[in-house]
Amino acid sequence: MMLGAHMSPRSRSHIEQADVVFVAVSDPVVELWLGEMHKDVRSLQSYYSEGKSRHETYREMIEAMMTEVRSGKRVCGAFYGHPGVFAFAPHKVVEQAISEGFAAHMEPGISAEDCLYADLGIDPGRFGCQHYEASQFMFYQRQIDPSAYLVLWQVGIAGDRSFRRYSTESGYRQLLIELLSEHYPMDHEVIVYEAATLPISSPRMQRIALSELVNTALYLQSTLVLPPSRTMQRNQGMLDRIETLDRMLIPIQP
Amino acid sequence: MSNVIQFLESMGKDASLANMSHKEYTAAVRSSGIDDVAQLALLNRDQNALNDSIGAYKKMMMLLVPAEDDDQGADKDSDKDDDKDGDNDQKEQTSLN
Repeated sequence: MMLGAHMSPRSRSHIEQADVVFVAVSDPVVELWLGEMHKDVRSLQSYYSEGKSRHETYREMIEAMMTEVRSGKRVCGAFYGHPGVFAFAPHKVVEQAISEGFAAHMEPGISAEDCLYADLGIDPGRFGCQHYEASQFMFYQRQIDPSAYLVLWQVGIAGDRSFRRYSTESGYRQLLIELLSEHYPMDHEVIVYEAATLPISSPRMQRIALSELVNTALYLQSTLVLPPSRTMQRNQGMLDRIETLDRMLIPIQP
Repeated sequence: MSNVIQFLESMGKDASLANMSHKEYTAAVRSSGIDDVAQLALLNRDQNALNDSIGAYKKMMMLLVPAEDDDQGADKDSDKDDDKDGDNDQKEQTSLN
């Protein structure tokens, strides 16, 4: 995510060794940085346009990369964070390339999720952590566990069914709040998080009450984190069965 | 512009540079050879001003995942006129990847 800090040596070597590099990053200075690593860096920004379906954008990104692959070039796609986390086109282009008989590989990266854990001091292993794309969370019935963390990505466009908008109005956010209020009290502290992309910047870690979300500024890079609203509930039936098994299998020390 | 990128890259790579005091940071910016406008943006830690000073995009698009696959009735605005029976809402969930 952060310029200079989070690119692995191997990822850098993929960029430097490619014939052409396609770039989709979240910070304009990061894009310029990548532009200095290679003589043929092509921004994928031009495929976005408000009012244009993002499905079309992703298809065009894939086709742009595949055109170069089919022409025999060694192609590298550099996407911010981890290219396979909450990112559609990178997985699809790897899949497409392999289906056409080309060698393709995804190199993992440090994602915004990883930065979130570090910046907010959250260990996803402590209580569990659920991740959803915010609009998908609204469109489908999900079984959430409020004794685990809940993270909603792309919350700035929560509720958009057109895939053509880059923000949604407070009415959609109010619907999200109502949905969340089924499991969280309105005064539950939630966090609006944005990872830092430059070393001169700090992450946004704004703690607000759930009820305040409707009037809080949200952007394309904003993520909503909901800490647990209750403690984990013991599964006594399962614990009893484990104890029975333990007594059978674990030798008793003299 | 390259001086700015180089400066930022050094700060990103080196933990000690990332944890400089205000005085040390100011001295590092002043001795970086970067032009005055970009220096001011760096000293103020103003990303927008920095973008302007080096001719970077003013706004980046960064949404990389759709809430639904295209075949699940996405692009609802274009589907509305065809959805006389509400059938477009009854699509089966498929995996994003």
